[in-house]
Amino acid sequence: MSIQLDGLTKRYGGLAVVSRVSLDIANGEMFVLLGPSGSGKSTLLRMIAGLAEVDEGRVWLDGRDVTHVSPSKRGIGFVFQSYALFRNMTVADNVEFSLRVRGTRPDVRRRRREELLELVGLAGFGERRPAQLSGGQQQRVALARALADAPAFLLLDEPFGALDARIRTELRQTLRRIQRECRVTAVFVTHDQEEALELADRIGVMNFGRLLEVGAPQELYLRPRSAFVAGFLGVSNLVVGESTPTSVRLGSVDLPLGTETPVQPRGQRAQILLRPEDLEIRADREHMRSAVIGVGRVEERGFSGPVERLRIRLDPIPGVRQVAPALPYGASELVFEVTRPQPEAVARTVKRGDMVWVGVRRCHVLAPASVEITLFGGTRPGSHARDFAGRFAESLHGSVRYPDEAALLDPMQTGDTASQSEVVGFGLTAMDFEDAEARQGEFGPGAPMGHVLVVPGPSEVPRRLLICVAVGEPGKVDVRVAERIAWRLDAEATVMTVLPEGKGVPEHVTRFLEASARVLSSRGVRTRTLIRHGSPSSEVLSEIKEGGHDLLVVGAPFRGPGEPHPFRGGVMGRLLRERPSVPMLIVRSQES
Amino acid sequence: MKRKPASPGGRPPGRRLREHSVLPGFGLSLGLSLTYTSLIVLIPLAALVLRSSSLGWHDFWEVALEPRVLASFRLSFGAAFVAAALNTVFGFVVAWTLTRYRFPGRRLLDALVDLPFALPTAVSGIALTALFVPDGWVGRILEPLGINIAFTRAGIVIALILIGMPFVVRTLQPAIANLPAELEEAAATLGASRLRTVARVVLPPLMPAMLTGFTLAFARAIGEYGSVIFIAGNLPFRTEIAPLVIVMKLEQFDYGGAAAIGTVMLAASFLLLLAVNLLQLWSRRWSGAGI
Repeated sequence: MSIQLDGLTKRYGGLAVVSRVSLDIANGEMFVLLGPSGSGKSTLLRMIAGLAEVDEGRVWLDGRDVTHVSPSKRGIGFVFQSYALFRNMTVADNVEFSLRVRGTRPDVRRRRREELLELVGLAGFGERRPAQLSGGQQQRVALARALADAPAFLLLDEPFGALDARIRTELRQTLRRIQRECRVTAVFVTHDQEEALELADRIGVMNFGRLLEVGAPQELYLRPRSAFVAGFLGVSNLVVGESTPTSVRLGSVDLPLGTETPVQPRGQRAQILLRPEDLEIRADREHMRSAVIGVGRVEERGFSGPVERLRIRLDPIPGVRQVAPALPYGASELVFEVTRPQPEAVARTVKRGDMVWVGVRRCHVLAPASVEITLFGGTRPGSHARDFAGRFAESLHGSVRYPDEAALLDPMQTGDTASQSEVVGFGLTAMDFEDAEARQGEFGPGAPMGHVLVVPGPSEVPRRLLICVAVGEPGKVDVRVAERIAWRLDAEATVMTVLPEGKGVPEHVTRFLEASARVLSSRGVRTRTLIRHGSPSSEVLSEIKEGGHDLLVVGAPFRGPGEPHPFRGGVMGRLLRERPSVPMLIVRSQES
Repeated sequence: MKRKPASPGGRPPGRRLREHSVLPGFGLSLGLSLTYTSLIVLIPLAALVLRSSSLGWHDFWEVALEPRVLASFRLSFGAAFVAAALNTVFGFVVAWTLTRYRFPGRRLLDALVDLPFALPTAVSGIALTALFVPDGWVGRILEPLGINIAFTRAGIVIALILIGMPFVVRTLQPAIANLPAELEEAAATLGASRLRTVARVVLPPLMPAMLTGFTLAFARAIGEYGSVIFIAGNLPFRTEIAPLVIVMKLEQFDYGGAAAIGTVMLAASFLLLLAVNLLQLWSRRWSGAGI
């Protein structure tokens, strides 16, 4: 009995919590929906069950369109995290509930109930009340209750979330066995990657309401496409290096490709995933059997049963930037998580502070994060935005989309928030200056949440970026986005901040600018920093003229769905009014 | 106070009180509770019983069993019961709506529920009477249909519904809020119809709260005086409630007689409340909340 989802969308207050999810789940499959809280996985499950209404799209169960069928007529069993047992009934009555509804004969009912209690390991508990059982036992009863009427589909919403670790493992095995025995098609929602890897035939990873990747556990663990999936399915060391047709390059070291990776032109930026078990460490270099990338110091050492966990700090490698584990802003060295099997850890002990060689046994290259530029206003002839977007996209190895305007104001369609952009590449909305001006007031709720590129006139592909930042978290996002663009365009960059007239330069401002310069120059972007004093908008405009810059990067933090006019007030409003002569990239970072 | 380690087999309830109370000193707070309850409740009631005992056994029963008094008892307890029962049904609907749905004006409606608490009961009585007399707004519509509310027993019930409603709604609201919506969803996924879900899944766990609400509304209605006398018409044997009979006795300086009727009401109320409390205890266990 298969499940088909076709473009399922659910909105709450205009914000899509589930966005165009399409998925086929095969008969008898154990499918796990995995994602952080708020990713929309539970809402998706509830739409399959009919407990949440579908705003767009269709649900097919066993070939039958049930999109608007009530939950009681879908032939499903549902297991809740809170068990949702009927406390006024005995365990037996709970299990028999669906049979009683169907008017099944009492003797048949009793037999089925005993069979199910036996199956979940609670034979003889029929006369107890739910309140007399432990949490794990209650969830077993809930499972038996959901299966009583032999549904074709079993839907489980974080069923073991409230239980402690040992019982959770035990119940996982019980569930797997029962699911096979009953040959029921199951969809299991969880935020626990270990649970997902152990249970699933296939896993679908969700974030921000989207289904990012679907695949077998091993496939997703070893060969994820996106950084988000790589990080969510286990500890990942993620660095940005370069890929060549036959290998990937970390600094001057060529790494053998352990997995098939899309062939890319030489010099393409690549995100390289190194799982902790893929790294080899040794005190002496001669015995290394992997590609050696450098020497590092053991910073942390921890024991966790079967493996030993180490944290190793390497000196910076030119052209290599670390993405995960996250380092302090502006740090350019590399810190890797490494695990070793216990026997090896015992045979070749290392202490904190020891220097060790680090080598890579296997690595995986993530799918290239592409830039997608959405053109506002469609294909209007004579549009500067259209001309510029085409050239810009070409130099960034990205693409341009021409959606209709209505779709554009739907944030989930255009948009990529700053954090989403780390997941699926990143999105820009390009528009003519006139549109930006006319639309200021409309960038209320539902404004494009992705970055916006405003084009005032005929413009060439940028060579000199002016990155205007305020000190703080949003400024860091601005710099990271600018870094990707500058690197791809092979442009040089100036990081500038404007301070009030007649004030000295506080030390933290200098530190911030230096760290920003390191972020850029660690990827080989020629960078200088600059501090000007005066009114921000006029200083920016005069610096554009004096410095010969041809792309202005400024930040406009996204302040949540209720923000009134993100581009109207403050510096951004004045800048738009005074109309800079060069294209302006407005980076929308999300305050988290 | 020195704490002793908990015994493995569970501790006697008294000990638990002593260990977990935030008030200083169990002895002190128990003493205070008893004194307070005595001063406010027990001593006045004892005085009432004492006063009626001045009549002597024979006179006492003569007053209490007088046909007019008996009729007023029947009316008081009967109307209070009917009003409390209706309040339980409709109060449940109101509480459910207020708790489970979000709609414009919800807070206003929620605040309105408390109004009968605050209003002097005489005011609500006068308002109801003005509404239901044959040429009042509502009475004008009902009269041609042959329905008379003002100065009948129906009017008494309506007045008692008004003053009892907040008790039911306010007791049910937290109980409904605590009832997980997943229970209804679970019932739906198990194939149950709405009716079955309400009868077998929603109502049983709310039973104790409903009984509490009923009891409070009932108790309040038995003693109600102010709002009823305006709408009742106060015809002996027909629309004369027991509290009114007491007031009349008092006006005739028949303190003994008033106390005797009061004592009978007290005893009957006590027995009824005791019965409902026992029922509630049983339903609490039955609904699985007490285990």
